Amino acid sequence: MSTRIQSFLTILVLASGALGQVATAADQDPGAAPVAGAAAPQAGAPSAGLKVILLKPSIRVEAVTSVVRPGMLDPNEYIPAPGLPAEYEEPLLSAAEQALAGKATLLGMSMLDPSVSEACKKLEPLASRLARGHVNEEATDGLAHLAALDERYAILVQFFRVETGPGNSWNPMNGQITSSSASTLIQAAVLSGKTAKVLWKGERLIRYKALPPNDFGLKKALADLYQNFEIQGGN
Amino acid sequence: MGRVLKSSLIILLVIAACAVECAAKKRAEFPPDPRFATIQEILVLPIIDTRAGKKASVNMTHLQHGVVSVLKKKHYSAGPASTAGGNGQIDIEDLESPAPEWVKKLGPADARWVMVVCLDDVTSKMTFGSTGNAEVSGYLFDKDNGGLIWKGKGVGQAGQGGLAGMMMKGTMKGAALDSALFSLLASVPKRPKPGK
Repeated sequence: MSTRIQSFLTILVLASGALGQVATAADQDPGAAPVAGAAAPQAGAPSAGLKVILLKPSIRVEAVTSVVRPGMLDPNEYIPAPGLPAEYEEPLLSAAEQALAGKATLLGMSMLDPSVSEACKKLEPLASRLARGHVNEEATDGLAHLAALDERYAILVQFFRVETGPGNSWNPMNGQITSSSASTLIQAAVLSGKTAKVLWKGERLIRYKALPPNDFGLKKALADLYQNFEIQGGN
Repeated sequence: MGRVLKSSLIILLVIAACAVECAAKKRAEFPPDPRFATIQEILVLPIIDTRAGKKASVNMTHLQHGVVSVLKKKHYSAGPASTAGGNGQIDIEDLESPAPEWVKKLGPADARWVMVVCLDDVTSKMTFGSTGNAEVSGYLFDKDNGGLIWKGKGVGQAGQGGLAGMMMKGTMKGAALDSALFSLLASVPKRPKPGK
């Protein structure tokens, strides 16, 4: 009888382990796989000799404070912000520079004529929206202004958000557990000035982790983001 | 005589403590902001999906009705709206810094107080057990003056360890969403019951 119970328990444990593995794979642990890959180049691409202007990234470091369900262990335990917004700028810009190398002419903000620089400054507040590929009326006007200066201009915009919040917990009294609500999101897009269309876009969401600026995980996430970077009409 | 005095003093102290607590509770229930006191009916617009990455299926209508239900529990007259209005696609950036003209186009034309709720994230995962996380943000506008009355963010967590928890994975997203809504609307002041 006890052998039967033992066998039954062993099967149950093995089955639950297998179930766990299958579910983890189905969830696509964002720390290991891209959430959304690079989009294919779209029609209406500009002429060859694209000049891509690398805009200043839009960066948000947020700490979400929230009322947590009662009964959880350490409900007020919040993870501190992993870094300052300015500290993320360098890794983001250098990853974009590496991705563009050999694929298009890259223009940093410091290399631009005052008129081009001014046109780009108007697009900077729209970076978070543009990085998702949402081009509104204001952005269309801004891109048209840029194209009027040189129709080979395109922009590369990046949006980065790192969020901390209530962390992991385990309540030994009732077995309740929670996962960290921290996350890191990186979105980037290349938009043509001439057509105001998205030439490439990519997105990477890392759940349960607020990556610090010098973390290897951030470097890996950026490398994954630009892994399939390809723009039609580049050099 | 001394015992009587002592007893009276203790009773007096207990009554005073109760009175202070009751007064504090009563004060918390009243809307501290007069803008909430003037609200007649809040229309909750269809939920806006602002999630990044892989999107799990969520019953947005159920979520919208969940918001209405929580508002009703706080004694607001509330209902779901079938349209988001004439602004076209609503982005999170539009909500963060809205122009009064843009606010006036939100929701049905005859509505005055409109609430916009965004689903920022919802996920569940299997560990030794299972967990669910959700994040929502909300904005309450007064279309009369095009102003933002309230905004908030709510994070919800749910989870259960062990084999039982593993079997409950399917319920985790819903539990996390309920928790996130509760958390989001916790900062909306509760109104006194009508007629009081």
